[in-house]
Amino acid sequence: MAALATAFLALVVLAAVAAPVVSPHPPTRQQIARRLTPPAWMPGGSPEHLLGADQLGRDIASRILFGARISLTVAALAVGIAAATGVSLGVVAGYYGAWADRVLTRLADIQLAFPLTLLVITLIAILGPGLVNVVAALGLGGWAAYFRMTRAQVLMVREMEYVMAARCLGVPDARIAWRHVLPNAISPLIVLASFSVAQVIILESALSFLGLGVQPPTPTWGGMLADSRDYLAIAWWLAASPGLALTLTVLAINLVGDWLRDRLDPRLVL
Amino acid sequence: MLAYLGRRAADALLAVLGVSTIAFLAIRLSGDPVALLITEYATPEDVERVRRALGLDLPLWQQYLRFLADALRGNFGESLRFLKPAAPLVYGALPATVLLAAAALVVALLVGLPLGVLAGARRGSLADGAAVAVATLGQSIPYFWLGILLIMVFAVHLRWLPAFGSETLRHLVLPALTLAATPMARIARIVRSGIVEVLTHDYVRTARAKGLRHARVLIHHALPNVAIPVVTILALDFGTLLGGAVVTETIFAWPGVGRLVVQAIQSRDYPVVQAVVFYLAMAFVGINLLMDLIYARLDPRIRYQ
Repeated sequence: MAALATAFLALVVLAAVAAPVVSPHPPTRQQIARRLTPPAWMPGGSPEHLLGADQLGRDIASRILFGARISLTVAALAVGIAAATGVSLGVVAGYYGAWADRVLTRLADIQLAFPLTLLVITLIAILGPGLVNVVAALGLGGWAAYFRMTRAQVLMVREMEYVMAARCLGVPDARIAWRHVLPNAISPLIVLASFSVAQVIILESALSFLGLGVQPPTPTWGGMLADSRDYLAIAWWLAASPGLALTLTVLAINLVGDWLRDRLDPRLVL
Repeated sequence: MLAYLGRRAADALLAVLGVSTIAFLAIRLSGDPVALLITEYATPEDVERVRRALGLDLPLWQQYLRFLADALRGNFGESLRFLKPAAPLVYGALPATVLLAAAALVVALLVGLPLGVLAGARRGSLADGAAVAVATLGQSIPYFWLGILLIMVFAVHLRWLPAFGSETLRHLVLPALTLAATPMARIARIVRSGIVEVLTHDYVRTARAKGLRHARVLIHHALPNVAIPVVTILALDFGTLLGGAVVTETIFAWPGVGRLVVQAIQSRDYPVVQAVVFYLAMAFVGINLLMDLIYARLDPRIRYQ
C-alpha cells in the first residue's frame, strides 16, 4: 500500500515538474467553441481533451497538471518554513531552557489555542490573497506543532548519556544541540511533517476554493472545484477530476505518513 | 483544582488577547480603513472628520486600548457592508453554526464509534480492513469535494435533499454529513487502536474468565477506557470543525459564522472579521477549558495540581 502510494506521489511530482512539457494544451487557453466538452470516453468527447474541457473551453487535464505545481509548491515551502522555524526554536527552548523556553512555550500555547484554518484565513485577510501570502500564512501558522514536538523530544534526549559524554569532552553547546540531540529527536518530526504536508495541501485548496488563495487565471485544484459548482447538473467532470486528483494525492501522503509512523515511532498518536 | 482553573483561565485570557491583537492589527496593516468608507467626492476635511470620528487620529496605543475596551463590551463597530453593528451579526449567525457543528459531531460519533469498536474487536478481519479503509478515506477527502459530490448525488441526480439554504431540517443533512467525515474518521481510528490496546489488559481477561459475554466486556470494560482519547480528539477537532464549517457553510449557503467571515473578508468588511475572530477564539478557548474539566470527570486518576 505504501509502495503504491509512494509511486503515485512520485508520479504527481513528476507531472508537476513536467507540466509545461506534457500538458496537451496551455492551461489558460480558452476555446469557447469547446466549452463543457465531456471526457474523451463519453459521447461528445474529444481525444484532444482527455478529461474534457471546462466552462471556458480550457483543457481540464492540463489545468490539473498545472494545478499540481501550485499544490506541491505551496505545501513544500509552507511545511519547510513551519518546520525550520518550529524545529530551530524548539531546539533552543528545549536545550537551553530558561526564559527563552518560557516565552516560546507560552507563544506556542497561545497559537495552538486558535484553530489553524481560522488563523490562516485571518492572516490572509490581513495580507491579501496570492501565492506568496498563502505560503507565508500557512508557514507562519504551522510552526507551533513542530516547536512543541521538538522541545519535548530535546528535553528527553538532552539527558542521555552520550550527550553527557559529549559535554564532558568539551563539545560546544551549539554543536551538541545540532549534531547530537537533534538527529536523535527527529523521527516523530518526520512523521509530523508528512501529515502536515497533507493538511497544507487541503488548506491551500480550501483557500483557493474560497477565492482567498492563489488567484485566477492561475489554475489551482481548489479554484477548479469552486468553478465547477455552477455546472454540477450538466457537467460533472468539472468537479470529478480535480477533486479526485486532490483526494488521491492527500490519501497517498497520509498512507505514506501512516507507514512512516509505523516504521519510525509506533507509539506516536497523530 | 481552583489554582489550576485560575492558571488555565489566565492562559485562555492571554490567548484571546493575542488573537484580538492580531484582529486589531489586521485593520491597521491592511491599509487606511477610511479609504473604504468614503466616496471619491470626499474632501480632505471630510476624510479628517471620519478619521476623528473613528478615533484614528489617536496614537496607536490609545487606539489599541480603546479597541480592547470596546471589544470587551461587544462593540466592534459597524459592518461596512450591512451598515449594522458587527457583533449582533455574529450572534445572529452563531446558532446556525452551532447546530451544524453539533449535528456533524453526532453523526461522527454515531458512525465512528461503532466502526472503531467493530474494527478493534475483530482486528485483522475483513470488517477491520473495511473500517480502516473508510477511516483513511474520510481523513483524506477534502470537505469541499465531499460536499460537491453529495450535492451532485443527492440533490442534483436523486433530488432527495436540497442543496442550498437552511429553511428546514432537511437542509441540514448534506452539510452535516460533509462536516462529519473528518471527525468520524478520527474517532474510528482512535477508538480502534484504543480497543485493540485495552483488550490486552488483565481486567479484560478477568472479565472474560468470569464468563461475561463478548459484547458486555466490550461495552462495560473496554469502551469506558477509550473515552478519554475520544474526548481529547473531539476537543482538538473542535478547531478543525470550525475551520471545516467555514468551507462547508460556503458550499451549502448555510447562514452561519463561517460564511459570514468569508463574505466579510471578500468585501473587506473588517469590523465583522474582527468580531468573528474574537468570538470564535473565545468559543474555542472556552471549549478547551471545558474539555479539561470533563477529563477529570471521566478519569478519576487525573487530578489537577
